[in-house]
Amino acid sequence: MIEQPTLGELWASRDLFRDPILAATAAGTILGWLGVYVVLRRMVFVAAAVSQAAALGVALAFYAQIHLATDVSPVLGAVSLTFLVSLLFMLDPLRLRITRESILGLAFVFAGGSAVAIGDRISQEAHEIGSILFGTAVLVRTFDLWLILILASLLLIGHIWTTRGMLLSSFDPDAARVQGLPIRLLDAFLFLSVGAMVAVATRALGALPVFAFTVLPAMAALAIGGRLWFVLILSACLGALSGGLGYVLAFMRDLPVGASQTIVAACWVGAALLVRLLIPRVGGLLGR
Amino acid sequence: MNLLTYQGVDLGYGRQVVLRDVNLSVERGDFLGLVGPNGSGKSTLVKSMLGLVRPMRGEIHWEGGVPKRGYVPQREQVDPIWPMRVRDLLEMTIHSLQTLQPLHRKQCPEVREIMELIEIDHLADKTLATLSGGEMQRVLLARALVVEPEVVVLDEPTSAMDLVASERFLSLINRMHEQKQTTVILVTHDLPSLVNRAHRLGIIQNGALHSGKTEEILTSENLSRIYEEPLTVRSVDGRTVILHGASSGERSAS
Repeated sequence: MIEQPTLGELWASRDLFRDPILAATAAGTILGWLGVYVVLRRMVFVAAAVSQAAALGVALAFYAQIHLATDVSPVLGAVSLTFLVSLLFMLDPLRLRITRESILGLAFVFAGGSAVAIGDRISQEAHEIGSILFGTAVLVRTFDLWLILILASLLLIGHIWTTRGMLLSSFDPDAARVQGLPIRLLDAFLFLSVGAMVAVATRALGALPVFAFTVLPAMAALAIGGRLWFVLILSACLGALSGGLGYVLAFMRDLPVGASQTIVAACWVGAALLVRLLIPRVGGLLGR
Repeated sequence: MNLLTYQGVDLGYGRQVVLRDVNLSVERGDFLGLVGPNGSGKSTLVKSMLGLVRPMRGEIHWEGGVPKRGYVPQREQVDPIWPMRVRDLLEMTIHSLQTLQPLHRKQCPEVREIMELIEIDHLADKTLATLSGGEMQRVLLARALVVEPEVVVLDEPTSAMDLVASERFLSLINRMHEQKQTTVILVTHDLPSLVNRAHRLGIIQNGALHSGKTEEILTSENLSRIYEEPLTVRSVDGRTVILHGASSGERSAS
């Protein structure tokens, strides 16, 4: 029988695992915060489409390196494609006579399909592509860690500063615009924040856990309820815990890291729904 | 003095014109009622006043620059899944560009004052999802007023209300208009609810706006011409009513 690793062994190897845990925790924090807007704006598909676009960007960068002998950084590929898709979301869907949801669906399907197709042409990097799509990477490069830490910190400061405007413009864009709020600027900041963070985190952690961090902690926090500031903070904390604890769980139970982080994030939703079911007034009690 | 003037304005979306050659003037402190059937372009006209729709042709002019405006949207535009208390919504509206700090603890006197005026102070700690239709509409009115606007624009605020709630809400608008001397622009598809309230009327029919002072617009000849059916305007017990038919004693519409 194979013995499972212990927490002591994890602690002993902390120098090895510190960076990926830190990266996942930081990404989980900011994606958890941003996820509240994504869920409340009913744009869960955004996270899925953007993470697929990031994966496509990385796949394209590898393809360019191998077949076109061009030295394109995978992070640059991810960021470029993510920004391109983010810009697509900023179009006014009414002008195009289609719903925003349809644009998201198109971006998701096209990016996902293309990533798989291009991945098929670069079998030399199949493992790398797999880690990007499903988050099987165990280690994080120092460059990726610093990128995540710096970006997450800057975005968190920016979003704390614009919380009221962002909430009002997300809640009722027309009324917010009438009041003089720069809706397009706030929308652009939100979409580019999601795009940038997803792109950078997808390269380091994988598309699946990044999508999970962007949706599941917010769902759990909203299910418990309470006031908006409480929901934002709770969601950020649950995102952070999903990243960190997910890694520990993966180590302890020898699971793929991305899957483990996703499972932890999903558990928060299950627990929150259970709490909501057992204590219906929990939202009124929390965050007063 | 005119606060708002429309001169030969065409409004629409893309290349599709919804309203043609709109000419309209609103004075400071006016109560303008805009009436028209569903899909006639009432909301498009209102959105042009709010700067949400740009004119395709013509000029929209605000005397002395664009004033501070408050907007009460149709209730369906507001998503009740937001975990927001009434007080939070009003505070957030006042401090929309500030940091998180005053989001929870600091009390705003303007918010308390407006909640008392609109008689929703008992709803302060309720979440939006728990409000009735009438309560939600009052909250949205409070949100529009809390920024102390010069002009309040209401887009079919009573569309989903029963008769009693609707009458109560419109009386509240009247009271607020009298107390604060705010210019009110109210959109509805129900002409009778406006005739004894609005100073000015705008009736949208077949893509055209017919507007003027209420007493000028509300004549049997005008209404019959606009609606292309015989209508009679009468005064009964000091209130204006509109009757179907050209001669006396036929069915009442108001």
